[in-house]
This record gives sequence, structure tokens and C-alpha cells, in this order.
Amino acid sequence: MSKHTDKDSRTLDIITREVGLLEMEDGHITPDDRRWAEGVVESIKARVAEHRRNRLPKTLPPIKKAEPITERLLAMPRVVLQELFASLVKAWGPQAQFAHRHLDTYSDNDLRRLIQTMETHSKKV
Amino acid sequence: MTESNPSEELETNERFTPSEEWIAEYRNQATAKLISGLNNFARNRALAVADTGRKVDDYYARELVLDALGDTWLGVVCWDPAKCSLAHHLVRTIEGRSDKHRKQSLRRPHDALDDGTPASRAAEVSASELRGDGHHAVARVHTGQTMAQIRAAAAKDKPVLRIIDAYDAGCETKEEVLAHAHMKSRTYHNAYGRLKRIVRHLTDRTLATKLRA
Repeated sequence: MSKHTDKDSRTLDIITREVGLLEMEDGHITPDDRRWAEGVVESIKARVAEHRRNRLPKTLPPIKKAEPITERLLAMPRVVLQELFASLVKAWGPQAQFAHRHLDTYSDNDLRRLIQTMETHSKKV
Repeated sequence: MTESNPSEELETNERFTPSEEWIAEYRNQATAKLISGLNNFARNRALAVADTGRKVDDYYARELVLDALGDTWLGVVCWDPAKCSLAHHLVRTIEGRSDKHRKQSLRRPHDALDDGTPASRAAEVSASELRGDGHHAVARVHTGQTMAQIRAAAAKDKPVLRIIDAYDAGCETKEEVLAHAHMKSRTYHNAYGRLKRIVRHLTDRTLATKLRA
């Protein structure tokens, strides 16, 4: 390459960089370029989402089965269960919170399960 | 500002695992506005690559942008959000890669039909059945002639020519040009606006017309 071409090459390098930076800041963007850029952004979002999905554990931990209802609770009739439940609620105070508001629609076994859960938790505490 | 080092490449067996903070920065900064701006930057750099004889088009410019974004995501080029913006990092990556393509092309010149070089004319004569696209041939910048075309386009614009002369004399920064050309900042700014139009016109003509039609 001649010396003159070297000089031209260097000057062109500087000009394309400087003009490129100006065009980057306030250059004209065609509708086609804008659509393309929006498509690239969408593909980036999809790639990020895929990356995050891949970081999730491949297998979910096994679902833990509930302990069987104890013989003691199974032997109790509904009236006794309701009294026991009321006493537990009183003992727990404001800490006792339930997702179900109409406990009278609970089946006997649902009530036994709820009492057992509360008793188990009370023992742990 | 401490700059990232785009040329810094990870070992092939070293897997880049971005943190959630890194991902959030990447996703937030990679906007459509930034990407279309980078495309404008890459199109200008493509003109310098075209000057070495390599065939480039708008897809080449877009590829530079996509490769820079993709390789940053993969960690092939390192970006530290704490050190610089994504825009700054991507500009440096595109600039470095286009410069690498220029140098590669200069080391291994490519002669093709309708390039306008003696070798290409010889090839056209011997391969009479192959014809280049006449319109494209007119539009393309011939190897090593880009600066001559810029100077010709700015023939009556003395401030623009003074800026070019300052670069020829070894200046690189705005401050160096102002000092060398004894030019006021406003004159420089206005002249650069006109130089930008000349380069844009040349870039539009040089890159493939099909995509931008």
C-alpha cells in the first residue's frame, strides 16, 4: 500500500467513527431500521426469558403427603372437634388465621386435619 | 470512566453466567433506540470496510450490531455495567471488529467482477458469460477511493477540507483539529454537519440499495 493510501485509510477511519457517533445520536432512522431494531429487542427479551427458565430446577421437589389423621381425632365426634378447635383458636389468639371463613361448611375430616395441623404447629413452637 | 475491554475473550471452557443484576442492566439498556443508533454507527464503519474492497451492505452493518449484542450476552466480549454503559461497550466492539475486517481485507484483497480494478476488469473479460449488476457497480465505492470522493464532494467547502487536512496531518481529536486548522468550535460543528451529510450520501450509495429502497 502506498503512503498516500495509508493516510487516506487513517483519515477515513477517523471520519467514519466520528460521523458514525453523530449519526448514532441524531441520525435518520428509516421505518425499516426501526422495525428491525424493535424485533431485535423482542428477541433479546425472549432470550433473557429462556435463560431464566433454564435456571429453574429441572424437577420439582416431591410433594410431601400429609400425615394420616390420628386415631384420637378420628374417634372424636363433630361437637367435640368444634370445641377443641375453639379452644385452640382461643389459645392461639390473633396468630390463628384461616383461609376459609365458613368453617361450619367443613367436613369432619377437614376439621380434624385443620386441628391436627394446629396441634402439630403448637408442638413445634 | 474505566472502559470495558471488548477484545478480552473468555477461554472456551469458561462459561459466562450473568448475574441477575447484569441481565437487568443488559435488558434495560438494549433499547430499540440504542440498537437503531448502533446500526447507524455500523453503517458508517461499513463504508471504511467497503473502501478496502470488501463487499458490504446493510446486512453487514446489522450483523455487526447483532454479533456485538450476542457476543456480549454470551460473554465472548466482556461488559461490566459498573464500568461503562452498554452503548459505549457496543460502539467499541463494533469499531474494533470493523477495523479488524478492514485490516483483514487489506491483507487479503478480493478482486471480483465489477469492482473496477484492473484485476476485476481482466476477470470480466475472461468470464464473458458472467455479468455484474450495472446499477450496483455505479453505486459502489471503488477500493481506496472513498476519501477522494469525500474530498470531491466537499470541493467548495473549505472548512470541511480543513478538517480533512487536519486529520491527514495527524490530528485525531476535535481539540487537535481546532488547534491545527485555527478553527472556531462553531465553524467545526457546522462543517461536521455538512461532512456528515456527504458521508451519509456516500454510505447510502455504497451499501445495498435493495434493503433501504
